[in-house]
Parts: sequence; C-alpha cells; structure tokens
Amino acid sequence: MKTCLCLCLLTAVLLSSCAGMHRQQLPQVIEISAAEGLPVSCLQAFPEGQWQLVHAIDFRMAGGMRGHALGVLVLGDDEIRCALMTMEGLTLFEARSRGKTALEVSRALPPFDNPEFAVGLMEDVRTLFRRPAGTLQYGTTTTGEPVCRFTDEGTVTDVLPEDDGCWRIITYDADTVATRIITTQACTSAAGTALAGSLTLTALGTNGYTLSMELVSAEPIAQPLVANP
Amino acid sequence: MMHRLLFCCLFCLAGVVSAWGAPSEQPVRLDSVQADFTQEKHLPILARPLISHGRFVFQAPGSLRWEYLDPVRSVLLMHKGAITKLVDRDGQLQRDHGTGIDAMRVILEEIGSWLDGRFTDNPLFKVTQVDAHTVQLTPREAGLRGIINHIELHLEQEVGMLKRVIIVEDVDSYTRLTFSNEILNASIPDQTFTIP
Repeated sequence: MKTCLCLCLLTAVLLSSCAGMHRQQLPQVIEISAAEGLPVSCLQAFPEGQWQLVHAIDFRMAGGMRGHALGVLVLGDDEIRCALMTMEGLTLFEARSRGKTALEVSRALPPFDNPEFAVGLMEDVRTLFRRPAGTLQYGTTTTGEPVCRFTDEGTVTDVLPEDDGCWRIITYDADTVATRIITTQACTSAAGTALAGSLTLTALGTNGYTLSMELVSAEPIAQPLVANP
Repeated sequence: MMHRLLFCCLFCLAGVVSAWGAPSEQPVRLDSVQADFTQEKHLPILARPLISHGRFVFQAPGSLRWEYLDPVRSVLLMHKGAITKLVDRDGQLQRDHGTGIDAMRVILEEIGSWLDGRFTDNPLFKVTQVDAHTVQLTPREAGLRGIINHIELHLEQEVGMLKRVIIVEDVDSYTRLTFSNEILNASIPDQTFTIP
C-alpha cells in the first residue's frame, strides 16, 4: 500500500505544472560576439552520436517520499528510447520518441500508464540530453557566468558551462520563471562527448520533484538503431 | 495494481531462490541454498542487454538474502518476519523505504511451497511441465499476464538444482537469470540475513 501511494505521488509530481513556489527569474545575458567563439562545453553537454545510457535514479518528492529505479536511455540521431525498471529488472515503462511529437509507448504499468506521464518523462529526457531547439545567444550573465541561451517559442534554456568540465542547465517558461534546474558532477569525456557521472534534475513548483541520476554505464552504439525491432 | 506489479516482481525474485526436483520426481528437501547469478535484461529498445551480477542465500524456512553486486548494489533481506531492502547511495547501503516489502510475506509462502515440491498448489500460477527439466508458470489472472506472460524454470540434470529462470514479460522483453556456484545445505550464520 505504501508503494502504491508512493508511486501515485511520484506520478502526480511528475505530472505537475511548474508554477509558483520557486520564482527564479530569467537573468539578463550580456551577449558576446559570435566571433569570440562559443564555449565548446555548451554543446558537449548534449551527447553526439548514438548512446545507450543506464542510470540509477533516486527520486525525491516534495513530501519527502523517496524511491529508486533504473533508467535506460538509447539516444539515436533522431530517436530517443527509454525504459524505467525496478532495481530487480521488471519493466515499468517503455517508450520511444521521434522529434517532439511522435511518442510511442509500448509498455506502461500503472501508475505510469497516464499519457501525460510519458510526455513529461520525455520532456525531462530531452532537457537532459538533447541540444535545445531555437535561436542561440552566447554571452555572460550579469554575475559574469558564461552562458549559452537557446530561445524557442518563448521558452528559454540556459546552458552554463563550469570550470571543471561540467555544466548546469536551467529552463524557463514563457513567463521567464525557472521550471527545471539541472546540475552535473564528475564529468568525463568519452568518444568526443562529455558525460556526467551524476545529474540532478530539480523540477520547480508547488509539486516539485528531484531526480538524482548516477551514471551506471555509457556505451556508444556503432550500428544505426533499427526502426522497429 | 501497483501492489500486484511489485508482488510479481518480488515473486520472480523469490521464485529462483528455491531448488527442487522435476515435478514428476521426488523433490529434494533443502535446508539452505546459495548461488551466484547473472541477470540479463532484454528489451526491444535496447541496443545491448543489461547485465547484472549478484548472489542469493536462502535458509529454510524463510530467511533470504538477495543481493545485486553490480552494476548497482542492492540487498533484499528477509529474516524472522522482518523484511528490509537496502540500496547503495554514495557507497553506503541505506534503507529503501519506497518498496512494497509487505508483499514479501506472500513470497515466503511461495518459497516454502516450492521447496516442498508443491508445484500444483499455487493460486497465482498455472504450472506446466514442458519437458523433464523445464517447468513453465503462467499467471492465472489476465491482469497478471499483462505484466508477466510466463516464467520458465530450467532445472539441472541433477535433481534439486536450478540452472536458469526466464521471466517473459512479452515476446521481446524478458529477464534471464543464470545460476552458478551453487552450494546446498551449508550452515549459514544469522548475520547473513541482517543489516550489515
């Protein structure tokens, strides 16, 4: 019963809107000429090529509930495949997505069978691992931090490279309020791509949640993904 | 439904903890079993299967240690009616309060039944003997079949030993557990089943 409640709450928070509680506002960017070059680390934050990534996920909800799952991601050129499993390997959720709209859910056990959960999960995944769409500005914040700013239909994604090779990502909604904050640690480079040993995604708002993800394995995939295995 | 799901998950775990003879043969009564296992997870979306390694220890009538050593360390302990799950966080095993550990009480009953060779006396699964060394468990309820299509138990030639378990979720999604280094009826200290 506790588990049921826990997972229902998890679903609820994952589906939650991000209005309200934390009101971190979009900082101003002092734009630097493109001629001065874009920080390579801005783009390294998003894996190039095809990868299979496995993370141990520790989720924490606003009410203090915690739980664990294994997350599997297969990143293709245009496709994302993902699965959530229990630590013992039972598949809870499995889906694939092409672009922003085409989402195919092949398995979703309750309470993960809500279509909005799948959409929200894919949005988290894209925020973590896909280069944002939109126009790009490069500059510094008013506090002097280098920042790459992607603006797309009113929403903003800031990628903030850090001195240790890691990065932060902050997304803002159309009201310029922060919606997600991603921090990274223990970053390394593999096959020309920076990989974070640990990632923390904090979804802001009254029903915010935190996903702490420890990288278990990262394997480049040489062969093109099969469209429909 | 989630309770059901977790039950199935834990059932699958616990099911492989037992060892037995083929249904048509006289079952071997075991006081304890311990073995290493390799777990392969296959999913259609995976470019490569996920591999895990671990070890389990079972002591009749109801003590269990089911431990994943890699890639993510976690330990499930059952002893004297208490059930605990521990997960590695930053190099330390910490209690996981987010699992449906109450379902393990049901699993313990299953373990006892299987150790006694009572394959047919199971309200959850229909038992079919595929051949002399293969038993298939099929969920009786449609709801369960939506989660696990069936479980295959592959027995060693030697009566009383389990070689492999395949948990089939659907056609292309399955988990294969292969056992090795089995030790039967060794004396096992109680500390094996308590929090380290």
